[in-house]
Parts: sequence; C-alpha cells; structure tokens
Amino acid sequence: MSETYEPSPPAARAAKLRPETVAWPRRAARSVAPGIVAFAVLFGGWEFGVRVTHISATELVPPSAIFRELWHAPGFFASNAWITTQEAFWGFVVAFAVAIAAAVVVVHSRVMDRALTPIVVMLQVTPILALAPPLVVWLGFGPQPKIVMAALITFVPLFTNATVGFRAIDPATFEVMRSVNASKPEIFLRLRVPHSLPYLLAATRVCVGLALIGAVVAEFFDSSAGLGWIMASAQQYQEASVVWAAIFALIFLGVMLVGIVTVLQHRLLRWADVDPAPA
Amino acid sequence: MTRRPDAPADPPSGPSTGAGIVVDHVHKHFFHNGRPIIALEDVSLTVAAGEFVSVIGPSGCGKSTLLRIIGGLLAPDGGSIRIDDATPDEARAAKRFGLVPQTPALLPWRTVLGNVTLLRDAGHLAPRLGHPSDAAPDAALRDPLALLEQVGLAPFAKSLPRELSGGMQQRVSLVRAFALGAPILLMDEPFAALDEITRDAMRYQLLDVWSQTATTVVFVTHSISEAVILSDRVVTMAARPGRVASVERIALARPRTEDMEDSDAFTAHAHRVRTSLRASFEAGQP
Repeated sequence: MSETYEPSPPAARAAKLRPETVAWPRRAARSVAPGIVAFAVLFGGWEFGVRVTHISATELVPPSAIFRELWHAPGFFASNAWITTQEAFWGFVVAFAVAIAAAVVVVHSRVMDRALTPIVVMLQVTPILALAPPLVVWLGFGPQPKIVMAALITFVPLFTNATVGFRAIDPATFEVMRSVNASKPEIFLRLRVPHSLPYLLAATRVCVGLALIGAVVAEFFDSSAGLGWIMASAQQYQEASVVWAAIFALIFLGVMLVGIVTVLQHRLLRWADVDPAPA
Repeated sequence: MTRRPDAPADPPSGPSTGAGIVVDHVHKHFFHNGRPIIALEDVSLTVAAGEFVSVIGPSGCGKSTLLRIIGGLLAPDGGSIRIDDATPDEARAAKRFGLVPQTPALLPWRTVLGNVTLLRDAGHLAPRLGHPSDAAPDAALRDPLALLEQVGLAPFAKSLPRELSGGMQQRVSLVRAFALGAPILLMDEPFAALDEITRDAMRYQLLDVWSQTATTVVFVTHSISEAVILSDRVVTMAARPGRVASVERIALARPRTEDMEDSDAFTAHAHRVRTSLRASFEAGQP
C-alpha cells in the first residue's frame, strides 16, 4: 500500500497539533482567572451597592454578611448540606434505576412505549414542587418525602435521555451485529448502553441541580435538618443573612457535584466527538 | 485463538473455502403508504463457492434487499435461499456471513483493533445471556493484526475510529469482515461514500485480501468499472419490479491490475454492462 497516502500515526499527529504544551498550572490559571474576576466584580458590585444605598440588611443582605455567617458556623452548614446531599443523591439513584428500567422496556416494546408515554408526559407537565406539601403529609417528616421529591423531579430528564440514547444506535452497526446473530441482550450491552452514555451523563448534569431543588423544597415543610430547613426556619426568624448563607452553601454544593459529573464526562466520553461540557 | 475441545477435527467451513449461494425464485414486496411495492420479482441467482459476484443496478432495483435476504436479515415473501446446505438464518447463527455496509459502522468507543475483533467477540456473552447458539468455528478466524498490516493500518490498531479518515475507517470495516473468517462476505456499496482516488486504491486492496482468503463475495455497487474489475460475474438488475436483467461473465485474468482498466476486454465488458443497464433503465421508465 505504498502508493496510498497515510497520515502519520495519531500520537505523532496529536503532539504536533496540540498547542497546549504549556505546563498545567499556567493553563489552569488561564482558564480559571476570568471566572475569578467575574465573581469579584459581581460580589464587589453587590457589596458596594448595598453600602452606598444604605438598604437595610433585612431587605438586601451584603455578601460580607453572608460570608460571615458561613465563616462562623461552617460545620453547621456543612452537616446540613450533607443531609440534603444524601436525600438528593438517593432520590437521583431511585429515579435513575426506574428510568433505565422503563427505558429498556419502552425501547424493546412498542406496546409498552404507547402505554408509558402518556404517564411520562403527565409527569412532565406536573408542577412537581407543588407536590411537596401532600408528600410530606403522606410520607412523614423523615427523609422519605425528600427522596421522593428528588426522584420525581429528576425522572423525566433521565428517562427521556435514556430512551433517546438507547435508540441512538447506528442502523448499519445494528445490522452488522445482527449479521452475526447477536442477541438482544448482547446488542443492548454492546451498542445501546455505550451509545446512551453521553445522553445519560448530560441528563445527570442537569439532574444534579434538580435533585437538590427537590430535596430542599421538601425540607421547607416540617423538617428538622437540611439546607431547606435552615432556609425555612431562618426565614421565620427574619435572619436574612442565614437564609442567604444556606443558599450560598447550596450553590457551592451544586457546583461541586456538577464538577464531579463533568470529570466523569471527560473520563468516560473520550471516544465521543462532541464536547461534553455544555449540558 | 485456542480451539474449543468439542470442536470437530475438520470443520466444514475452513478458513479458505467459500460457500455457494442459491437464490431460487425469490419474491419480496414492501408496503409504502398502504400500497405494495414489488422489491424483488422472481429473482434467481447462483453464486459458486469462492466466486466474486457484483450486483449492479439503478436505485430501487432491490439489490440491497437481495443482499439482506441472502444474509438472513430480511425474510423473502416467496422462493428460497440456500447457503450450501443451510438456510440464511442458520448460516447467520453459524457466523458464516461478514457484512460490510456502506458506512464504516464502527463502534466509536472501541479502538481499531477492538472493532476488528468485535464480530468474533459477539456471541461470547452467550453463556450468560442465553444466546441461542455458540457456533463460531474458531479455526476459521484470521489474525486481525496481520490483516490490518496488509491494508496499511497496523500503526492505527490502538487508535479510535474518529482519529481516522473515512477511507481508513472503511478499510477497518473490511478487515472486520475478513477477520471474522466468514466464508461469505456481503458488501453493500462499501466504497460508495469514498472519494474517487481512495475508491480506486481500495478496489485492489480488497482484491489483495480476498485472493488470499478465497471467500465468496456478493458485492452491491453503483459503479460499472468497480463491478467489472472486481468480479467474476456482474449481475445487472432492473427496477420496478426488481429483477435480474442480465449476467455478464468477466473474462479478465486474475490477479486483476490497474492496467486492465485500460484494456479492450475491460472496455468491452463495461460497455455490455452499461448497455444492459441502460436498456433496463429505459424499460422501467413510464
């Protein structure tokens, strides 16, 4: 095959093409610096605005007061954040398991597809957050209503993406597998599961925020722990800076969890041609 | 590859014996908007073991449908197909077909080597997942690395498909079919999506690998020159309804070379195939 043109092997090509041979600390600094500046401008402007206009701290809390709350009782916020995280996590796990099982059924059976689709659409248009008070009444004050809320709110995106992902297989590849008589379970494991990974991870990214919202909203009602409980009770005593501190803790938690999912996306989806970053 | 202890001492389909195909009065129709479309009408065709047969014809003449029926991916509505002494489904279960579709159809998460070995791995999940049969004759498997070497892809064995050009990906797809060691290769316009220069080079690479394996090939194509230079026989099909219009036996010696494409014999064959195609095309016009 001497007459056909061959590009150089990929390792050599990659070395030539990749401009980012700069040491990683500098690269990291470069990619993080704009974000840090933006944060500084945001909080600086906020703090400045509050001080200049002399708005009372109950109406608009300055960031300095919020950070002071977090600084004085980090353990308090961390332990409650941990409780909320667990509720959101288990809700997500339940939703994920049910969504995968339902997607497997729907992908393999047209009848079940037609039977389940209306239920999913119903769930999709239900204002899930409005279910929190009745759920608390039904399921009590324990972690159950929070887990159920987190599960309900994350189910539809997970199910939809699992279904689309399982169906995203290339028809030609499917035929090649059939030509060697690959069984349905085998096609599922070898084709459908890997093909669904980009979809499922993108859905997981979205669901991190949703699961936290679900758990926190359930915590608003008659609970005794969690970031939602802090917000609700601080609101009652008009401790605006504590409410905001809990919101900030929630944001920080969400960012960390999304970061974990992003790392997973980069690790698991090296083969995909798409940039996994935007969800 | 170690041989299974229960494998027969002399497998019926060894590495370099093709298998014959008999297509006997096959009918196939589809429904389009509730109205039946006859895809194949009374198609009969015999392909000898080790023969290279191209099927050429206008769009909609049912050549891809015929290929799928031979491969057991579609069931005919009438007539029968025998792959030696087996039905297409039995042959499929015994991994006697290597399918090369128009697109490379590689798994993007598997390396080139992983893709090449995919089809031989397929079915090995069997014991755990209730696979109906486990009948791959391991003796027939060919060394995937040697095959990659032969088509100039050995340095890319560890690469992912997306790092390869379209022509290279299609070569991986070819090697995947050959590596399976199947006695019959079914190729559905495998070079159609490639540029002309790559296409020309791929013809001879295909012949190069094929000549060492002596597998039976059914090759669907739109290209007259490709059909003539590759094949022992060229089957021309006509559309509406899909049927066999003519069969041209190619008298060119093997191994085929690029010089032959300028020979009078080549030109005469190409001319006859073109004439037959044109006649069947005009006959199909309203």
